[in-house]
Amino acid sequence: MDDKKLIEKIHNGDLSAIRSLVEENKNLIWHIIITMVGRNRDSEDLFQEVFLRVFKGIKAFRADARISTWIGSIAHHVCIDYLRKKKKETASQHDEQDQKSVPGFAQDKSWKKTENEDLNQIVLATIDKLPADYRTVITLYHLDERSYREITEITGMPEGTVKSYISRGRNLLRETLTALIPDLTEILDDF
Amino acid sequence: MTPEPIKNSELDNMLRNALISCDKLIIPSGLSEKTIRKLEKKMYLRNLILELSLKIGVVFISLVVLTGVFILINGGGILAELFSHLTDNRQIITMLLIGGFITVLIDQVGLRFYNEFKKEPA
Repeated sequence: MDDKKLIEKIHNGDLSAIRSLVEENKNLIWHIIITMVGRNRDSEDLFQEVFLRVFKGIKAFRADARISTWIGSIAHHVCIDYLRKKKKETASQHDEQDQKSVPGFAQDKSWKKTENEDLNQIVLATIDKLPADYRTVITLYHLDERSYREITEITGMPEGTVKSYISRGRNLLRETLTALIPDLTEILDDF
Repeated sequence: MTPEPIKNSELDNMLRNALISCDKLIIPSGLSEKTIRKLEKKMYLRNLILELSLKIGVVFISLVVLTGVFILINGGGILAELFSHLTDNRQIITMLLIGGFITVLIDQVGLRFYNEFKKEPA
């Protein structure tokens, strides 16, 4: 459904528009929450919180951007608020550790254990090792197929940072995969 | 919107396939339905309150118009007489107004809201 029509319907109190709004944006919101906060008991509450904020603030939405981008930016803010509240707890500590582990990740011998595991699992494990911002940007780019500009609008990061995160994430993944599976070197070195 | 051109399709495919296969990135069943119900309730309640406000507004406007007609027909004296009646019986009028408002609120908002959402699954 066209964004303008959808907004108009919500303004007019059309209940079916709410369903469209949630159905069309649920995956994007869930991906942002999971990549930023992780899967825990609060993630479902955050999901609902995002849509409640969207509903409350829908009058403030200006149709100069896609509604999904605007909703995505709300989700990003909700997650940041949540992480700020929990910053003393595991999330931020985990991220800090991850930040430190990124450069030497490919040399981490413990990852040799995954050598015989499914390729997807290796890729996911690599992504999981990245800091939250990297994970979010990579997921938005590769899974939700968002452009650099949209990711910039959602996360509030400069476009250069977004590009750099995607590039560094790719490089890290390439390093990890070629270290674990040397046969992939030729295919993945084609940069 | 399609992302910008990719540099290494193999790597990008791997990333995409891995992310698609990731269980935790799949939204739990029932969560979006639960959220939709919650939002629908809010919107329905907002609609009912708006509708009630409009109805009350129409009643007040009708009363004002009616009073204006009476003043035109009988002169300004009727307004003073009306105020005198209102102030003499202000307690009972206030009670009637509050009682009426509560009844209308329950009927137009409470019961309609309950009837709309009583079939909600636990």
